[in-house]
Formats: sequence, structure tokens, C-alpha cells
Amino acid sequence: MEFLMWLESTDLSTWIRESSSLWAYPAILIAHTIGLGYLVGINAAVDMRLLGLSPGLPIEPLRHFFKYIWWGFWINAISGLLLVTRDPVNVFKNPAFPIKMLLIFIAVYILSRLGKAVASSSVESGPVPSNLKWMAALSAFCWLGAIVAGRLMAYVAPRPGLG
Amino acid sequence: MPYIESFSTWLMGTQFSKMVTLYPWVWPLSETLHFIGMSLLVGVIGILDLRMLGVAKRLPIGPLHDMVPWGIAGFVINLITGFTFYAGDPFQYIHNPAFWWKMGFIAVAGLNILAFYLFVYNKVARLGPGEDCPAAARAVGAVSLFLWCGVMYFGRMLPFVGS
Repeated sequence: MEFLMWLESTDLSTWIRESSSLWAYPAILIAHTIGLGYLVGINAAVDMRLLGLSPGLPIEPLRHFFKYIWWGFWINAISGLLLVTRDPVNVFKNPAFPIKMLLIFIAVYILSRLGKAVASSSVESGPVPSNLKWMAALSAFCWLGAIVAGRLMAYVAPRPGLG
Repeated sequence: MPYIESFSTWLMGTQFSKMVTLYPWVWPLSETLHFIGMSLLVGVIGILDLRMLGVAKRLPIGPLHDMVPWGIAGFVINLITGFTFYAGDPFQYIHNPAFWWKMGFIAVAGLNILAFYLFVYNKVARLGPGEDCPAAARAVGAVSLFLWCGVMYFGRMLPFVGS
């Protein structure tokens, strides 16, 4: 708690919170949104193939898309840290925040496992082994839940203005 | 824009518009769905764009293109939820330059998709694993990635410009 209060008193936190510059809060939110689109979107597309969609696609070449998924992840990890820095005490009081973090933690763990499984897959067409299917289903579920929890954060905040 | 003004005034008097502002769950639910639809759209369209640009070349384009209906589903979700926002508070949008930029980018993205089906699709649909896409396909892919990023950019800018 002391750390969070200290963080809130830093110049960086104050700047993100109070600056009227479009490079402060708006730019961080834009990065977080575009990162979300590609992180979750491309991951979801890979999940959909593993779940049986477009059975004509070989699995192994999908590994090339993981680079872009990870780009989305790192953009969102950094922009997310800055969003927490903006209002740390309230973010940590927000009941939706730990749920969002837990779901992201699981989804990212699956993402790293999925990356290895896809790169070593010999499936050229048709269904994938059921353990891969389960990972894909859990991945899609966790990302959906993370989006729901993330959006909810703006509505269950201890005080308004966390949009 | 007298037509848009009068349409907006009429829309605000409808039961649908009243419902959006009356029930506190309509807006957050629509926002959440808007983010999910956005991810589906940019993820599915994004991997097709990346493949045309030369990423994951071992993927045949025909089966990859089979995922497009899911991208369209994302777009339809966003059309419905986006219209819900507009119906709830039309004048917040029609006087906001970011809104018109966003609509403009979506319109040009639509023309780009038209160009894809008119000039590119027949050439790339039969491309097998490992084959390079023609220059027109690479151009359409790059333009698509740029435009959808622009749509997300102006969408997230909406609350920060105008009123």
C-alpha cells in the first residue's frame, strides 16, 4: 500500500493522470487497445484452427504468427503497467483487477505452451490431439474473460474516472 | 449534414435509444462485446493480411480465407454494438471529428476489401504452400493492416476529442 501511494506521487503517475496531452493517457489507451486486438485476435484465430475450424490448414506454420501475438502482449504489458501507474491505489482496490490478472496469467502461460506445441506439430490437416484442443479452448475462454474483467474495471472502480 | 441531424433527433426519440440510457448494463455490455468483436475482426483479417505479406508462407490461402466469416461476425457484432452507442447518445458522435475519421477509415477498409475480391482473391485462393503473393495482394494486405489500426486509433480517441 505504501508502495502504491508512493507510485501515485511520482511525476510519471501525475503526468499520465493530469496531462492534457494526447501523448499521455489517450496514447497509452490506444496502444492498449491495438495491442489487445492483435494479442487476443491472432491468438483466437490460432485457437479456432486448433478447435477444428479451417481443417485444411497445417499447424506448424502457424508458429510464425506467435511473434505478432507476443508483440501484442508486450505492448499491453507496458501500456498496462503505465495504466496502473496512473492510478495505482484504486486499481489495486478494484475487484475486477485481480480477476483480469489471473485470467491473463493463465492465458499467457497457455500461449507459451501452445507456441511450443504448434511449432512441433506434425498435423498437416484435420483434427489436432485433444490436449491441444483443450488448451485452445481454455485460451479462448481466458482471453474472453480478461476482456470482460478489463472492461468491468471501468464500472466497478472505487471511484469514477478509471475509464 | 441536415439529414444526419434530423435522423439523430428522430433516433433519440425511439424506444431503442431510451433503452440504451435507461438500463445501466446496456452500455458496459455493448463495450465489452465491441472489444470482443474488434479482436475477432482484426485477428482473422490480420493473419490473412500477414500471409499475403509473406508471413507463414507454408499456409495455403484458400483454407486460411475460410476463417473470414468469423472476422465478418466480429464486424457485425461491432456494427450492432456501435449503433447502440450512437443511438444512446447520437449528438456526442456526429459532432466529433474522431467519429467521422473512424467511419471514413471503415469505408476505405470496405473499398479495400472490394479490391481484394475484385483483383486479388482469384489469384491468391489457389496459391499453395510456400508460394509468394502478387504485388497487388501484398498492397491490399498492408493497406488493410494500416486501415484497421487507424479504425482502432480513432475509436479510442473518441472520448478525448470533440466534446
